Amino acid sequence: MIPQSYVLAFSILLLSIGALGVMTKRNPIVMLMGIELMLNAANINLISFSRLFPEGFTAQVFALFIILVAAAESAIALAIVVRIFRNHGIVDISLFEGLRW
Amino acid sequence: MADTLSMLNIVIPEIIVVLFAFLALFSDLKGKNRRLAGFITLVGFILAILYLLTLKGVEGNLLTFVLDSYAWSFKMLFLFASAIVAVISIGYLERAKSSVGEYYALLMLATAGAMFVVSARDLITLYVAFETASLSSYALAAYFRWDRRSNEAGLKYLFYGAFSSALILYGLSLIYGLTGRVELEAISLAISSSPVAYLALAMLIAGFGYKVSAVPFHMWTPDVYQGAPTSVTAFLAAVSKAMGVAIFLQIFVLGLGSMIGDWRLIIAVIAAVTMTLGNVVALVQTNVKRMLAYSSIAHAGYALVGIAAFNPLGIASAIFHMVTHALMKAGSFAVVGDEGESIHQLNGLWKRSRIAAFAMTVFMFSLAGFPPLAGFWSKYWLFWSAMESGLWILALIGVLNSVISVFYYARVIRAIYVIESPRTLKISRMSSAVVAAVICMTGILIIGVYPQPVIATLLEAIRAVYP
Amino acid sequence: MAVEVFVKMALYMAIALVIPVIAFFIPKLFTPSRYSYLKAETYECGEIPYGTARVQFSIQYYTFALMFVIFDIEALMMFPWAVVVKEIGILAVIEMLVFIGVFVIGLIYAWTKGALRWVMNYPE
Repeated sequence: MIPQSYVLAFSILLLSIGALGVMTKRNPIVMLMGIELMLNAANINLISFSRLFPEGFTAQVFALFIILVAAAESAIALAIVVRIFRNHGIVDISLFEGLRW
Repeated sequence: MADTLSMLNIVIPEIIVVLFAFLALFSDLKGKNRRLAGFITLVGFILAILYLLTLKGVEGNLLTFVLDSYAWSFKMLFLFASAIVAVISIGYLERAKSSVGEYYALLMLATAGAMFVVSARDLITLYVAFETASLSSYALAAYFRWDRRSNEAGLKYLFYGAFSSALILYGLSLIYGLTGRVELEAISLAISSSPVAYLALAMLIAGFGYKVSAVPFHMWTPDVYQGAPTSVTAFLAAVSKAMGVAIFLQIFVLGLGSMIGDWRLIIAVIAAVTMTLGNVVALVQTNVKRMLAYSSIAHAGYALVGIAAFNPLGIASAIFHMVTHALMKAGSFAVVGDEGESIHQLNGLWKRSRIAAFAMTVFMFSLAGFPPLAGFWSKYWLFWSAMESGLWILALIGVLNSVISVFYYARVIRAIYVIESPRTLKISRMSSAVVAAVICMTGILIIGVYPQPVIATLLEAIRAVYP
Repeated sequence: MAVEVFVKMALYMAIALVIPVIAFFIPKLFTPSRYSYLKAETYECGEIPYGTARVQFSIQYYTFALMFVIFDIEALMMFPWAVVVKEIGILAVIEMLVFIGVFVIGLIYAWTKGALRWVMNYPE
């Protein structure tokens, strides 16, 4: 069996890569991919922890719910991105200068 | 199963709200009967409030859905604030270029999500509920889809929200790994300080910091509040912010209350910085929506003072502060939505509409914390509870901040009464925003003169979450 | 035990990588090689290709895709339900009916809004 610490190291790496992607990229689609990576880091954690507590499916059901909500979240994000594309003709976060103090 | 079904009545308010959401969705498919959709929403909220009134004092649970006096108080707040937002929307959405059925449906679904949040006592229900509320609010913020600023606000809100959710989930998964439980009470018994617990705590503070817009994580708030349609801004300030504080209470007080020694100082520092930055940056704003957004950040800081104080009075007054904040912000955004968001557009409001001008004055004085108004009492009790817990520096910073905040609220009052405006046409028509403002103003005056019943109810209510 | 499993897996993957390579090279030994223009073309299901590879899809395509994602993923919820439906009994069936009912409402909404029609003229 793979040691728990390896899984934790992997998931925190995945979380960091995702967070870095969200913070550095300028394309909303790529930023969304970064967020999906972060969510999947949590999923991997939950699935690996479910081995430690074999009674019940709690963690696995939690992971399923996360997948579901992530799908809904990306659907809304893509809908807004499509709308922005129709208004601006281009999709780039750095265009967003309408709201500044 | 039989006793499960016999407790079904405790979810009826939520069921009413969701059913009316579907009704509102189909009532305005072509954009021809906008007011009808608004009135259906209002009827739904009022029915839910009436049913919830009959549930006062009822305690029970349906699997992991719990109704106690804590959940009851928050649900009352959400329903009442959402009803006010619905009243504002009826007039504000006259300018919409498309059908508005979806708007009201999303508004009601977001409210239902917030109501599920305060009844959730395990991590899975809590997560799904707050995502229901958040996803609906993202769509609401981007609702004016022909308006670039609304698009921008929606996308920013979504990305910051999704980012914080991912951090929260990672923290929650670590907590599950440490304790093997998802029920908040079981977690509070099983958790103990360890390096992994600190990592989880850091993730949760950052994630929920985004949700309540505490300072290092507040950047989205002004942009989203300014760009979103003003009725949605009222919803975000009144309901979403209160929901953020509710989750904060449930996770940190109920779930991680046994680790109080580890997070108290962090929350206290965040509260101090949040109050100060929110108030100082608000001083230089010329857009009223943006100014109120920074004021909203500052008010999140005040609520965190109560959580850092971690005594019954502190937690009760954090909830109380959310009640008064909801009334003040919903009312002031109602007036701003009617008059225009730049501070110059408020010039000479006194000449145009006496009622709106007087209501706005009450909101500003209450936000600043002047004595006979509701905003004074919530701040008074928050700072008092901080003193009781020995956090007298925090209380002092809070009082100083209240003094700073007077300056920018006074600018609004000056614009209303002193500065002349070429627009002197008297508004005789009673717009829906003015109705909402008057309701909020009445609430503030009543709570301000007679606050004891509210704080007594809340002190009773927080027994359900305070260990 | 652990190492054995990984060795088996590695062996399996190595064989799996080799087989398609072999499958490519065996026909080379037997078939005659003749060049023609058509063979050099990009294969597009037998159609004669035209235009460039960078085609802009209609925005409608994304509406369909978004709706597909939602309805597709939400069906996932039935898997944990199927595990426990026998224990909980009739209540679980009712719950799933409510869940599906909500999706039917969503579908009806999309339908009445005309999002399911492929050809649609946007007023732009």
